[in-house]
Amino acid sequence: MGLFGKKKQKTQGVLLLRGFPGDSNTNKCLLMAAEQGLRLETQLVDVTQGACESPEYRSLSPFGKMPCLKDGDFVISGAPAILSYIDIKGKGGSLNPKKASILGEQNYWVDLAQRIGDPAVQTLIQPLVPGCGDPGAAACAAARDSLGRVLDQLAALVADGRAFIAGQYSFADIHWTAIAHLCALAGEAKLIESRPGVQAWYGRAIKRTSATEGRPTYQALATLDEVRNKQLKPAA
Amino acid sequence: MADLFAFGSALNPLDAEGRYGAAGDLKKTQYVMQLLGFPGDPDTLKCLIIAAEKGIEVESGVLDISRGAERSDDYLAISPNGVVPALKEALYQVVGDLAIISFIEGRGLGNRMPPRNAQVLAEQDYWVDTARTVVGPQVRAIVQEKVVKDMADDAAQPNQAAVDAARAALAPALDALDARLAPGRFIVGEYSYADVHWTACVHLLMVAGQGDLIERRANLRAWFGRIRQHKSFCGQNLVAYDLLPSLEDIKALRMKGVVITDF
Repeated sequence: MGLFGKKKQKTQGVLLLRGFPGDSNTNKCLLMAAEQGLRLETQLVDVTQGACESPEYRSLSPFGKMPCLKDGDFVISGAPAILSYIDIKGKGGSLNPKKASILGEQNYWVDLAQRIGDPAVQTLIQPLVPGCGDPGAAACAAARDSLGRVLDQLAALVADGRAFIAGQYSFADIHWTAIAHLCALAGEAKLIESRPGVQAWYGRAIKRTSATEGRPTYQALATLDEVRNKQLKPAA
Repeated sequence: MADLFAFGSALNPLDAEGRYGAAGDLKKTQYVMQLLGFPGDPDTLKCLIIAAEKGIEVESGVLDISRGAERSDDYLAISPNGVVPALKEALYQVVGDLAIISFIEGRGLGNRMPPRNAQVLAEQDYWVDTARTVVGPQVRAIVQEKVVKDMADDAAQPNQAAVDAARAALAPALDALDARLAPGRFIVGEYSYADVHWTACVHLLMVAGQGDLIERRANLRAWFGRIRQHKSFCGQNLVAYDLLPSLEDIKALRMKGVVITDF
């Protein structure tokens, strides 16, 4: 390591992510790990069986936030914290833009993902997951409507020809790729495909290879079979 | 359509007397930032705190959400999803606490506030996430019942059952933070975004007459005492907490700005 080299803090061992394949936040963490070239072992937290409420899980995540990450003795839960941790621990540079205005734009889209995108896509994916119950046609229509309005704004944003949401690939793309992916799995691909700009952005996100290892990152996300069968694969 | 950012010095041309550029002053912020929010909204207060901590001048304008102004066409033109608050600097506009805090951080003075160590950064973000998703909704519910409700309707009475439910839902998070806080320290050790988010929430609990929730938890009470005296993170001679609105300020729709005198 040279005098001005960036020394990475080493992980304490194999990282273990506890999550659920139909959960957008779990998928964001898998995607970030792939982007940053970090290997994650995984363990299913079966939300359909109330595992988030179990004393064992609550001892790791006191407010039942999912997913949960363990690195040696260090345990942290919730997507914002885990994404920050992986971003720093990974092999590449941080995905956070350095310029204030671009950082603000990134976090605006992260905020919209959390406020609107996640709740909407969790409703839409629900009928696909055995044991999750049916949210009902009205709830699905409302979810489609709220998601559609934000996707309209995303379409307007990327109409200026930018490759990714904040220009460069950032946390915003991690959040919205996971949401768009679950939309597609839920049979709601029309929400993406009906907006050519969003479709083009999603196409770039799907084809993205990690800056650290040159491997496709999209494969880290849960497949339809994995969601249906409640299987969570490791991020290699 | 009205321009909701047409207040304060923005009403005058950039080269007008007293504005930047007129006297050739060189400041890091070429333009004064304008914050449009509501004094009883935790997200608005977080942005005010971070501006003071990072030495950024801010002029505050009030968006009266007690009367639904966040759903007006004028505001939706700024924030299409009605997210509050909104910030403007020259031609740049951004909305929501996450985006505004990071923008001010990038434009502000002094060291970076987010910790560099991965574990401490993750802990900061965990406590920010807890403030935003666990505590914030309950604080909003209490402020709505105890403060905002009768602003739009003098005859309105608080729904005590809703207040009690919010207090009960807050207890685990307040207990967790109380257990987490070490003597003389901030939430993750050094002052961080976690303190900014929790300060706004705890202040509004105090304003809404729920101070017993803090007083009965010794570590939380001591932390809040440190927060009330915390000098600006960037070395300015000001205390961010002093800018936060009182109950009377909220009722009168008054919100202070941030004035920086020492460059």
